[in-house]
Formats: sequence, C-alpha cells, structure tokens
Amino acid sequence: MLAGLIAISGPALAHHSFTMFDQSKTVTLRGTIKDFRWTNPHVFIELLVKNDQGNEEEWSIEMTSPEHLARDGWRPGTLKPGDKVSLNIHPLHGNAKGGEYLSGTGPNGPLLGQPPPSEGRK
Amino acid sequence: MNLRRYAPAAALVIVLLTDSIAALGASSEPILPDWSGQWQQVGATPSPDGGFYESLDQVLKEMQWSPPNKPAIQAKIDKIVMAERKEMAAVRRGANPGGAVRACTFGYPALMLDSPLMFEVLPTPRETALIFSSREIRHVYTDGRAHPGKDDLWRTRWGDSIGHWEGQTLVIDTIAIDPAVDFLHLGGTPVVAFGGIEEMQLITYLSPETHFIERLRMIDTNHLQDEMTVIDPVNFTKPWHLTRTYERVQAIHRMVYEDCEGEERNPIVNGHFTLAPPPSPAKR
Repeated sequence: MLAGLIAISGPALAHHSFTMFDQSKTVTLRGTIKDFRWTNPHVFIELLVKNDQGNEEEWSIEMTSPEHLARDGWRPGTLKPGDKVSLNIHPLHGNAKGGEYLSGTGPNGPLLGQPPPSEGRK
Repeated sequence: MNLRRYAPAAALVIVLLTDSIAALGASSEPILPDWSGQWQQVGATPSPDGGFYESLDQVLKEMQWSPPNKPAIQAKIDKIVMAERKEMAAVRRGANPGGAVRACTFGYPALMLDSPLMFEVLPTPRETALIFSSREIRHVYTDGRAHPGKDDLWRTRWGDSIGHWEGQTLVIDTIAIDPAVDFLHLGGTPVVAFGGIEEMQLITYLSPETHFIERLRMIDTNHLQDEMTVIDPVNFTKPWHLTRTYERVQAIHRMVYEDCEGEERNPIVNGHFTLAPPPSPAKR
C-alpha cells in the first residue's frame, strides 16, 4: 500500500504499517453494513455487529486505497448500507472495535478481491 | 477552362506537396509504439487490505534480489538487517513502532522495481512520459540531448533520464538519483523495500555514481517489460541486472490517483497506531 502511514523503526522504512492490527489473529464478523466510506487515503467499512448481549456495536474495518481497490474490481457502490456481510479481519490490538480487512462474503457471494495473503507482503 | 487562372494555386499545391514529401523522406522520427492503457507490475497487484498475495520466497525470487555488493557494503547491510529484524519483531508484539511519516511518493528506481502503483506510458517523438498513480512522472527525453553538464545537474528522487528508440524498444539512461531520500536503497540512508516479513531482506546501498540503463518494450499485447542494469562502480563488484514485467490493468480503464495527503486515518495514540475512520458523508 502506498498511502497512509509508514513505520520508521531505526533506519528502516516500510511502505506502510498495519502494526496496530494483530496479524496473528483472524476474526470473522457477521453484520450489517452501516457505511462503505470510499475515502482517501483509505477506504473503510463501518459494520454493525451484534455482541453477545444482543446489542449492536459499530466496527471500523480499514481497507487499502481507492486506487488499489479499483484495480481489484471494487467500486464505491460495491457495498451498500443494509447489506448483510461476513468479513474476515485482523483485529486491533486491545479491545477497540476495529480491524484490517482480509476477505469477505456479501449479499451476492464472495466479495471482490483474492484470498488473504498467507504471509504479509505489505 | 482558363488554366492560367489556376496556375498560382496549382503551383502552391505542388510546392506544399513537394515540401511534405521531402519532410517525410528526411524525417528521422521513430514510429512510436502504442502503449496506451494502464499498467501494473506483475505480482504487485494489491489486495483489499493493501498487502500482496505473495510469499517471501516468491518475493525474493521475483525481485531477483542479488545486488553484487562489495564486502564492506554487505557487512554494513547485514548489521542493519539484524538490528531491524529485532525491532520489527518487537513491533509485531505490540511495541511502539517509533513514529510515522507519510509515504506519498516512491522515486526512482522504486517506481519501476517495486511499485504497487499503476501507470501510463505516453511516447511522443521527443519525450516519453511515464505517469504513475502517485502523481509522479518520469520524463525521458528522446530528442538527442545529453544529460546536463556537471555544473547544471543536481540529484533528485527521479534522477535525469534521456533515451532513444531502438525499433520499438525505448532505451533509457538515468543518472543523478538522490541518495539521501530514496527508499530502495540509495546511498546514505538504507531503507527497506517492503514492509511485511521480508522487509529486512531487500535493502542495498547505491552510491551517487550509480547509473541505470533500462530497455522498455512490449513483449506481447498485454505485457511491458523493463530490463534494468544498475551500474554502481563504488558499491558493486559488477553490474546488476533486473527484469520487471508489467501487465495491463483489467479492472479499471482510466487513471485514478492515490491521495495520501488528506485526512489522517492512523494517528498514533500512546505510542500505538490507531484507527480514525472517516466521518460519515452526512457529517462531512
């Protein structure tokens, strides 16, 4: 990914950093699209998910840039409010309701894009 | 018909035609290839999370990462790699990543060697422009000029490029890359090529004396190929040859640009990156 932040650790510089996400965990969220925010530098899915108590919680799922997503076939209208989806994410470290998008299933089957990378060339 | 009435006009037409034919015959302009469309590096198609569908082995193989470093340079790199590996391991365990900056441009040679961007190529008789979705542009002058002289040249992130056509192959000669800021490797600040697990594997140093020669051509209707030779008389024991292939972008047929100058989505709070989703459209 080009856009966004890159971590500087010592002298090194990476294209970006998603170090806030726990790359060792994959969580599947089932919920309803609240918003598909096609914004720079990154696109976000705002997803309403019911917790164990039956209360809706809003999760923010970060994707890559609109330019990158467009080359994968995504468009601003790919997801619409009210769509029922299942998303696989790397969650944020800690308890905040957020994560990094990996893959998903939408109302019409698998969402665009390919399977998540088994190893992260970011 | 009064032929004499039309004689001046006829003479003018003949003169113009003669000039045009002469100009055509004398023209040394190349017949330029049609490289229209959008291109992206093979193997660098980003996934929806911004990563790439490649393993480390694939990346190393595809990158042809074997810079012919002189021993002193290699020792320097090895030391950095080891230190960096420890730091990144700590970051993955949740340690403070140590700060952040925006990466909005790539510079050369990263644009050609390791770019997740799409780009267009616009050949014209006197210049070919390579326009990348980071809004970076490489200008390759093919009008026969030489590189600027020593007193008229300074290093930049994109260097100075001149070129010529050999049939349908564009031969590009690039010098004057700024070693202080480029990410892949140049000069004073060694910087890694990638994030992810392989980030420490792909660094090298290039000196300010580095000279690049590229041969850019279409190898079939859907692929461009760049054969690059990196000549660094200071840091390398021999020239370094790399090849990159670019494929047509299929899912979109117009140029759209990255825009990473906008809102912050990943502010650092208490030493950690966090999420700051954009406000809903109604609130913007």
